[in-house]
Amino acid sequence: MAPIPHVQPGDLIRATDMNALIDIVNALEPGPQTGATVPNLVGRTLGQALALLNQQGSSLAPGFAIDVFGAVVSPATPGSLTRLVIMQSPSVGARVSLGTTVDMIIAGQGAGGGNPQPPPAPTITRTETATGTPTTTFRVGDTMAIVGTNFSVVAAQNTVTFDGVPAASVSSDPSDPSRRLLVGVPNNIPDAPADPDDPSKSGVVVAVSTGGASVTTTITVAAPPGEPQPQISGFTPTAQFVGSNVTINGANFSTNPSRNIVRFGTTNAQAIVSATATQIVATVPNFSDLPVTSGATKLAQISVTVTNESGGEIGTDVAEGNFTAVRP
Amino acid sequence: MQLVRCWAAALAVAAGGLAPCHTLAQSFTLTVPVRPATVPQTARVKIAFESASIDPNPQVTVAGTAMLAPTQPCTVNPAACNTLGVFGPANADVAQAKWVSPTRMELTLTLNSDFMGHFCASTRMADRSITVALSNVTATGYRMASYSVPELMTATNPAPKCDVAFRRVSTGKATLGPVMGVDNLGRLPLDVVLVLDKSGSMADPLPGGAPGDSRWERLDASVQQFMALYKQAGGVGPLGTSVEGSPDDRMGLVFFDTSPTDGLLSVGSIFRRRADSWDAPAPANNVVSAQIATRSPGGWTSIGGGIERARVRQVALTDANDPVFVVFTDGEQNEPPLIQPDPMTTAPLKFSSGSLINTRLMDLTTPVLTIGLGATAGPFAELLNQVAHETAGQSRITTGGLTLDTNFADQLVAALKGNTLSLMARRMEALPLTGAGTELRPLIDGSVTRAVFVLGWEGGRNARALGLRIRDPNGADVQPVVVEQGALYTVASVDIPQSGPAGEWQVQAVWIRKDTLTAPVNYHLSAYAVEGRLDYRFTIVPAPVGTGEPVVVRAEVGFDGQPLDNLPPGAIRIHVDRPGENLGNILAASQATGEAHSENGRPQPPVSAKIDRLADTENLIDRITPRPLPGSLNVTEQGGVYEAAFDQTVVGGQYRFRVEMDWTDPRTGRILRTEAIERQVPVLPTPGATRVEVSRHRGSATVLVTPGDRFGNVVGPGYDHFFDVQVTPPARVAGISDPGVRGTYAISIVDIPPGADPRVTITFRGRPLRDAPLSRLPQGQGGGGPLSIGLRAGVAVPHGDFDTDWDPGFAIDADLELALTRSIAFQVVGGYRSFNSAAGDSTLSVTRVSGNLKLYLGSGSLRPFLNGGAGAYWVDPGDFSHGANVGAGLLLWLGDRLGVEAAYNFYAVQQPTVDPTFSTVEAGFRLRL
Repeated sequence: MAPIPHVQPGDLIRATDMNALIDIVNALEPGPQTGATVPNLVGRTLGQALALLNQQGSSLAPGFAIDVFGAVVSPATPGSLTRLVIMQSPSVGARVSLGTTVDMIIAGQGAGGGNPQPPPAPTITRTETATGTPTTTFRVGDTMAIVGTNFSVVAAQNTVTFDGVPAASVSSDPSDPSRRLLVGVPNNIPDAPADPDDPSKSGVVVAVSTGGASVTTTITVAAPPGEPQPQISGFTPTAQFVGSNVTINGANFSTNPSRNIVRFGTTNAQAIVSATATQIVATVPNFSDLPVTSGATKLAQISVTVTNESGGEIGTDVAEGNFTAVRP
Repeated sequence: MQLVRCWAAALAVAAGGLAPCHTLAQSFTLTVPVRPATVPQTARVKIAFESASIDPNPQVTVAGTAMLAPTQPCTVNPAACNTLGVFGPANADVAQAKWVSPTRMELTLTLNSDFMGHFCASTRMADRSITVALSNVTATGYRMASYSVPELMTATNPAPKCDVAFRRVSTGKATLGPVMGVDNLGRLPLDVVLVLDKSGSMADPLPGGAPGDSRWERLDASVQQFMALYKQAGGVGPLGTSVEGSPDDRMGLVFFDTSPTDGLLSVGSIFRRRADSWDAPAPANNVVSAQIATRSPGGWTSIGGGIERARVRQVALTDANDPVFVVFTDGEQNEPPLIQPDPMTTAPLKFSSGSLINTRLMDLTTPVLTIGLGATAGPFAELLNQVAHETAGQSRITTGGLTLDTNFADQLVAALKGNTLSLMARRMEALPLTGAGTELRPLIDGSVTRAVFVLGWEGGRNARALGLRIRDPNGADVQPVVVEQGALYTVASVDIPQSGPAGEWQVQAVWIRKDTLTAPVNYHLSAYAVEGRLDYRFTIVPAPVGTGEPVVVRAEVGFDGQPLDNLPPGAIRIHVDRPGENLGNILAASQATGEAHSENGRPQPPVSAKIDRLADTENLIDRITPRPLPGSLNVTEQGGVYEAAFDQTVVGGQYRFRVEMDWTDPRTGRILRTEAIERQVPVLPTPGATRVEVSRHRGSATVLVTPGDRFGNVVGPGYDHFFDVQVTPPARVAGISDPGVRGTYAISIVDIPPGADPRVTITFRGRPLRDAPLSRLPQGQGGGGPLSIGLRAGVAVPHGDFDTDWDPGFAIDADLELALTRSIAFQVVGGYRSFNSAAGDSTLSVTRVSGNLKLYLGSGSLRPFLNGGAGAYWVDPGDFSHGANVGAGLLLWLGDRLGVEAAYNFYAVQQPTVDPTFSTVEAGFRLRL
């Protein structure tokens, strides 16, 4: 494409030139085969950065790699692949044309070279929720944040335990990988509460290690949140034949029909036809005390009990108002 | 084919138009009246509209709300014949329309909006008026029934059946506003199931019957009369329609002994419709008789099995009617499934096993009418009574004879109550060899459409011996419109006014064949009315009743569907028959045990055996039979509901309330009817009147309990399952028995630790009789109780100045101790101490009589104690004075009655010179008396 001439105030711009500009801009916008977004290489090892840039489907290419002393770092040099990228150009998130090269500045080696220094000892400043509210109490299954320093920006290099039990998950906060870890509280901490009614366990030791020294803090681990209680908002119709269906509306029902127990008075529904979290369709049972004469009726209150996988009761709700069962 | 019956459509067709044919809508006004507050309100109304035919797209509109209409008859498409809709305030009321057949549309309305949560709590303050409109249905007649719960919730009846309205309302029924050409055809059909006992005892002779008259033969005769009354009361009347009931009524038949069996009245079915032929090949009079004739008694008695089978067969019907079970039995149930209460209580009754296991009898929502043949009191009678009362049924029991006939017939009347059959008059007597029987003179008023006369007589050699003579009020002999004759009965009917005018008719038993007879024949003659306008129902308010508690009789009386209030004083008189003696007292007073097997070799329970023995030897049956009391009860009335209470229930057993209705009122004219209802009044024991006696043994005890009430009645034998006995562990109850069959129950308590005094709590029918430590219960011969004696000896040691002159000596004490509580005892102690002088030349004795309080600590066999007291002391040489002692000790029980004891006591005795003070250390034994 011919160069687009500069323009001066008062010049007319040709449509051809304008369209060429538009095409260039469009090429930088996200979309298939129109441009690329520069990934974050900072904090990764050189090996990881190269792998990321060279992976299939990447639209970018590695540029030069030099260390802070200005020396070119060759991937072929032993130990270079484990050195960390500390700066990159273009910067992370930049939109660039396809095939753009990304240059990297690599962390320097200590005196003596060759053998990397052990990572600095991490420290813990505080614990907080994943959204940033400082606290030392977390529930089993929560994702907590550990704020400190010198965490490895490579999440896999951070080891976090709770009373010796590995965390359910560990990841670095992308916005501050070396100072904030996101950690899942495991469900197998010894003596930790399991049911909502169990007391919390205090003094749970959280240890963070980055491969060398480790640092600890203590937290209180509370029971996992109880499962939501079923709630009946209504049912329809209010009268139905034995053997026909009633739709029960509400919330927190189990989507597994077998885990919903629908009762009409003290008699279980003949069948659960379907169940969603907000609606159950149940079949009116053949009450033993409903006279066998056609048109006979029986009043009954509808209730829904949701159970867990082992059959234990999570909760029961009783519908307001009576249901009328009718002998067909 | 679509009938063109609407004039608009006809005009349209005549004009060549294509307007669709719709019959004119019929609009009815359904009125559900408020009933008195003392009885349940109508909760459900069912109407069956009869039509020559029903056009396509029938429409039903209720209270202005058009229902989703059934689209096809059930006989064509069962899935499309039945629809539901809601109407009324907050759309709380439910309407069901069912296109039953090409000529019948049923409409059922459940009036939820008139109740608060359940049908025992009504908010209805005024008559409920509901418009019902039909289109494309040209009704020509209807049948209707109203339903309520059986009883209201009261303090004495706190848990009635409130969620299902299944009892037919008798008076204050809903009515349908008259529409020209739409007739009230009567009641809705019923399914009456006879559940008959054919256990081995049915082969026994009939108590009080003629020679050769067996229970089985009498049952056959009774059932035939029942059937004849059923057929004739519901037969074809003068207008060509059913006089009583519906052609769709069904009779069912089930037998039971060790297990139930079907009495097949139709091919593959226990049921037969009223409209079908009941004929059977001779000699059987009908299909029911034929079924009875093919069976013979044998086996055990499973009442629960019979009821369960009836239930299963009735439920299996695809077009079931309202059910009623009539259960007959002659003996205590001894084969599961049993009908029994929860252990140690009296209600509710449940099935002990089988497909209905743990199902409450009341949850069958089926009235069970019981007929018992046996002692009119005791566990057997009380069970049948309870079965009936829990199910809104009625119970009748007889010791035998012709009353079995009348009981069956009366239960049919009860089954149809809320409908149209009633008893006008009855006579039971012996027909002398010469002449005719005394005339029965029923007053057949103008409200009666048919009168049915039932004559039955005792069996043996009397087959076809008697007949009926019927004369109208003018004295003219009348040929009945229908008559049925059996070997031991004749049933005949007359229609009013076709057979004769209203008035006092004359009916009497006459001889037909007496060539070989040498003795008068006992017979009964009853006159039943098929009511056209009068309706009434007598019930006994189902509250827990026992001796000393009132029985409340309630009558709902109506005429032309309206409550018949403000009847003249004395219009309803209720007389009471009270048992002559309490069965329990008779059984307790006799040491007879009876035979372990009946005459036909059938094993029988000890209580039944004893009753049979005493019936033969001590006139037991006659002694417990209810006898008329003078006077009648005071009857009060509110809104057509009449009530009377009888509180002189001072004898346990069967009470009979004989009701005479005799009034002349502008609304009804002269009415004369009679009715009898029965109620068991069990003995309710009280602690004060219940004898208890304890016999203690090593590690065990036997508590003898004879429950009785304040009127001198004892419960008697056969009630061991009503006891609930709790003892403090590790002691336990090993069993309860009545070895003498005299109502003195032996409660065996075992595993009593040595020295322990377990607390014993005894309740009967849920009422406490005793609650005390075993030692506090009255002790019998050879037992150990609150009294004990102690004997101790040891040393006496002087103190202080007393010690200066006197050396230690010996001491001996004896006491009589009374345990006031488990920890506190009082004892009277006598003691003697002897001290030698320091010089050795003299002795000083101290003799005392003291009162001591003793505080035992701890429990178990080793019991430390503290004691202290004061008393009179004789010091020799010295003066008579007073003194006091205080001490402590240990008591170790070696067994239930014997223990060893050691004690230290300090004594201070007042004397003029030196006040002796000394101590004793003694050991000895204690024996519980």
